[in-house]
Amino acid sequence: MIPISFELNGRNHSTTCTPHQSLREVLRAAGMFSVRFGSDSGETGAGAVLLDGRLVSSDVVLAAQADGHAITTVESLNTSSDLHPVQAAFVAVGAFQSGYSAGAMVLGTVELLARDPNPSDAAIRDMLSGILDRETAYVKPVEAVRRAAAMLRGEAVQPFAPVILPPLTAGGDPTPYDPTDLPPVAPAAVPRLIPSRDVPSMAVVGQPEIKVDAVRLAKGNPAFTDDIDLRNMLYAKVLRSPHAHARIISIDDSRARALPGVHAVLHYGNTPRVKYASGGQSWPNPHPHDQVSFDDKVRHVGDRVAVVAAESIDIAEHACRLIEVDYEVLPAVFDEREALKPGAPVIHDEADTLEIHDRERNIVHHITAKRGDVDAAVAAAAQNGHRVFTRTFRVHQVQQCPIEPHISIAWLDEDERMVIRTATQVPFHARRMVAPLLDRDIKDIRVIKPRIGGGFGAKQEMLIEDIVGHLAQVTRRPVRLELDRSEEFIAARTRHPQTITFTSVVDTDGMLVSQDLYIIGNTGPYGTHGYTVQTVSGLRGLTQYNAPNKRFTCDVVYTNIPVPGAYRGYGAPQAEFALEAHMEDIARELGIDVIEFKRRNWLRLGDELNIAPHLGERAAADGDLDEYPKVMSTGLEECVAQALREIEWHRRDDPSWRAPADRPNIRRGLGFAYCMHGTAIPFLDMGGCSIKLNDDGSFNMLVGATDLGTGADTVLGQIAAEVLGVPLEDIKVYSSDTDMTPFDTGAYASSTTYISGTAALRAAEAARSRIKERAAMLLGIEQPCSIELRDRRAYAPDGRSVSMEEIALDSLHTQEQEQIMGTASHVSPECPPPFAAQVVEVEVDVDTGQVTIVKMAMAVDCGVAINPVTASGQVEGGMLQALGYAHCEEYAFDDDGRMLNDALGPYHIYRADEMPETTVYLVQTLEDSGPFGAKAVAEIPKDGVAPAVRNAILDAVGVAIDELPFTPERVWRAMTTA
Amino acid sequence: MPLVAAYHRPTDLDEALDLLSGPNRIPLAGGTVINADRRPSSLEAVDLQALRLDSISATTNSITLGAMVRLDMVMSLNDDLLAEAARRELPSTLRTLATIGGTIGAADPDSLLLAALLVSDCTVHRGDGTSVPLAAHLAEPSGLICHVTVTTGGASTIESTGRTPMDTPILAAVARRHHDSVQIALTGVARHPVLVDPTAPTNELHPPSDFRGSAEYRRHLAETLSARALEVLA
Repeated sequence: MIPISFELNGRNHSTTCTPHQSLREVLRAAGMFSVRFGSDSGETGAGAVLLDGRLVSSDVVLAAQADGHAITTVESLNTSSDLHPVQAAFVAVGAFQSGYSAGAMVLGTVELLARDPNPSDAAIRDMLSGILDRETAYVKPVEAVRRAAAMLRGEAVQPFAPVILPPLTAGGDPTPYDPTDLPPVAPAAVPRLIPSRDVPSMAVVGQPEIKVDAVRLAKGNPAFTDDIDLRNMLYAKVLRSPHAHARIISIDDSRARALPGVHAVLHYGNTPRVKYASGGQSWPNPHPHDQVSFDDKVRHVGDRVAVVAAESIDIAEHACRLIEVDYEVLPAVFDEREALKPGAPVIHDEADTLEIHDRERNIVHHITAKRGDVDAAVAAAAQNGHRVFTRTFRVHQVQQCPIEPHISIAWLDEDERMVIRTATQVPFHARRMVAPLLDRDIKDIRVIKPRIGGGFGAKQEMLIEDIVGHLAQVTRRPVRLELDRSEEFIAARTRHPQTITFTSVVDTDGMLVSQDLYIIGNTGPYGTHGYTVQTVSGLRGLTQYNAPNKRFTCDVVYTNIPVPGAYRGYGAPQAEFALEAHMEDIARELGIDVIEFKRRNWLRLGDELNIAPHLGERAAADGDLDEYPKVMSTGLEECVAQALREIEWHRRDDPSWRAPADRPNIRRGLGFAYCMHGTAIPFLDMGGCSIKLNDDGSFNMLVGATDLGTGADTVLGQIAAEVLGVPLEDIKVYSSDTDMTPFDTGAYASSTTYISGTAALRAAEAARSRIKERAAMLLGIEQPCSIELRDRRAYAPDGRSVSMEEIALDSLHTQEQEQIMGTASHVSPECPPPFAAQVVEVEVDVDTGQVTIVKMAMAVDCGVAINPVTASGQVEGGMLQALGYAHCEEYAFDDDGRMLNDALGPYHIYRADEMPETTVYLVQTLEDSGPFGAKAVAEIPKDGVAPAVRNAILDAVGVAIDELPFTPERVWRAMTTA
Repeated sequence: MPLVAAYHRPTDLDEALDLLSGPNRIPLAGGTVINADRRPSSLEAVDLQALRLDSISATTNSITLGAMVRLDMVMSLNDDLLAEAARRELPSTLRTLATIGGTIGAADPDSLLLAALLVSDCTVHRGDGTSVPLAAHLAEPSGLICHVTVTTGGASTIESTGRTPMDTPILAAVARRHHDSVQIALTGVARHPVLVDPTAPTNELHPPSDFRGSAEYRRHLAETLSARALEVLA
């Protein structure tokens, strides 16, 4: 060990370290929990600190290198309960979603403003270039730095709030585009809100409230899974397969077990073989259950082989290298089209995996759904003068890339129950699913979800909880397992690649007669989420346009790529890329304006979602139903009008803009995509909530819902506060603890605001009902229903009132004592679709094929945005991820299935200093089935960027590219072969 | 982190050279490359931070940079090409650690800064007192880099193609003109950036293929971006 000493936040800190220990590790050991792990290479910046005043990634600084230097972390600013002005600025504009990298952003800002009190946007973005953010698209962080600079210069700053705009359409009818009507001028971070006359003004709902967890995030307080210290913790490391497909002939773990400090080595030879499916979905999990904790066969590079628990990560890693594994390497297949062919390697040949549709052809599921008669429509097309259009698209594999990797810590509590503290989106599913693997009853397991550093579907999985559970049982000590960045790529979850073929029949009026969609979905080596994701692809691909005849056919296929699973959008981005590209091409073929062609066919108010009930885990059988769900709210026309004005759509017709004279190699184009998504899974997603009144008139709210950084806790709190007539600060939200909070299916399917929000609404209404009765008692009023709650008081019709505190003290301590509380849960038969218009502006270098995204804007109808700041943040972050999907991110493999770019540098996710201008419009509608009129907003921003970019490239240079992403060489080749 | 077996921090050059003469010893500059590598090793790190190799001295048209000059310090130089290349080399949290010496030592084939140094007549001065052109050092690296001297001034440009604006370019043509002479260095075509004949940039060029660009595409980019650089500097 090396003795080291450095100045830490102004005080001398002496300790010891190993030669290779990082500064980050030493700082966290010293209690600096704001310094967080994103990658060992320092690329994420989550572990950035100030070293002698410079912003550096502490991941790549040896602790020994820091000897004699001065280190500053964000904890240095936490000298009181008040926020530093920089922290306050980030909080005010909603710049933190998960807040996992909050400390780094705040420190970077402090350092920047110390040397440049009035930085340019370029300087701000340059500072943020080393702090990757998968959540905000950097829009609000940039605004936060601007605001902090102004505050520190002593300038007055205004409350951060949406800019309110008048509608451009009347009653949802299309309005002619007016090229002289310029878009509003406002900072990009400010959401543009177009109110609906149907929505009343409210005190808390609809307001840009500060997030309830903002202070803990801004201060870098210990809030995340890894931010606890447990005595006698062991550290786990997984030995992973170097082969894409192999049988394990034998494992010799004797040398690993003999290594001092090793406490357990688990593998197929000493772990119960319990079949499961890892997708975090409702009971019963869809078949096939094709996984076990450790198998005698590996099916992708990175698959589990064994795990070690040891006194340190170093020892665990060393022990992994000592495990001797004898493999029989088998042929592998990676492309879903090849996996279907006769003679392809059979990936699941074991007898105990049941309900594989066609094992020999690797087809896990064969999915069909239909309305009308597609074959007849195609057969009669020529006779009827109809046109038939067919096009095939290929979409690729990408990763969610949450900055916080998967991490779980498990231990046995004082009652010998298993406690699993884990970064999950589905704590209740995880508890239920891990129980049989650990041979425990559900009641003997407690799953706690602390703050999460982003999930995006990657954590809608029971991914590593079984491993730490097994190890904690075997060792009877706390065990921690955190994936490194490479493991996140090769051993976590990804988006499904697909081959998608659309065939559409269009009549002479430009109306769709039929749409036929065939998808080959690549579910990798395991079927987790494979069935449901592909059904959502079918649902999204065949719902947003009217056609009397529709058919969906899908083969979900096993291959040997890293495992696909849930990724925000959940099958929709794939299908909507193909659909919106296909519709663009048809419009061009027919010579119809693309907006007009889509408008003729898109869903309107009252239209049926005519294939939706036939797809999904609980789908209706084929054959017409008596009733279909309908569109009951839509702001689509307003979205389209706002988006086209924002992107200045008329520039498409300006030759001098399209081909700038001073840049002869550049062509410009604009692209459009229409998007429609869902809001929760009807009859399936369920959330619960309970609320109790405290002595001082405040409330504790317990929700099972899982806030991933989305602001769910805040939004649910706002809903309750509105009902109870108190400010948000009086609602103390605690969420996602299976022992403490009601059940919730979890954070997925754009369900939290709609489902859990309605549960919060009803629980608050139940509490409100009792509060009114108590208030009526105190005020001597016969009819409690005449009481109104507002401003922390209960008012009688005659103006007299009692405070919430008086009601609480009376009910808890004085007369007919009772705990006022409300409990409710909610499941919905509806799935009201949010709508959106996505536009982008691109520049294409005709010599090199390089595409530059200059601007993107999305106008979204998400019903009533409960919090317009968090809602706009969702849209911004969703567009950033969608941009990566369209433009640069992709898995690259060698011939043996080894990933070539399993690090954030070569994989590349967008940085702050290269983001296009990004603008969000929130078009308000009133969705009667949602809490205070809300629909979903979380996933729809993932749907439109890829097709809009594709269509913009087509607009710019006339080539239609049907494969993602739009990398320079792919575009160059398309242009050279066109 | 690499599993370095030991850490040394010499306080003068002689001590450093003595330490580095031992087996399995590697110089540790900023650490952004070495410390990011988690593969096991028996290496011993010799940290150069105490050697006072972080000075910058300038004349009218040249600058001498110590090997431990960081990239954020290069960004402050009065030379647009070197400053921009340093800015684009690494993001904010890494360029405050990475150094000139480490950049040369790593010899990243995609390094814009190395290409910028190549077209700036960079001379590498080593701990044994020898000095060689950077191109020669990259071709046959040896010795401890103590400082480098570069020629500054003149017109310059970076022409690049990448997946996104700040992604490491698939290929870049970095050019500087001094008087009537133009030098062009290409990234992404060899095992380290190379100087090429501005009039025939693809002569004797055998670019690699990888997932970001095929050899054929890189040859096309080499021609296109070199021509573009010449046009800018014409």
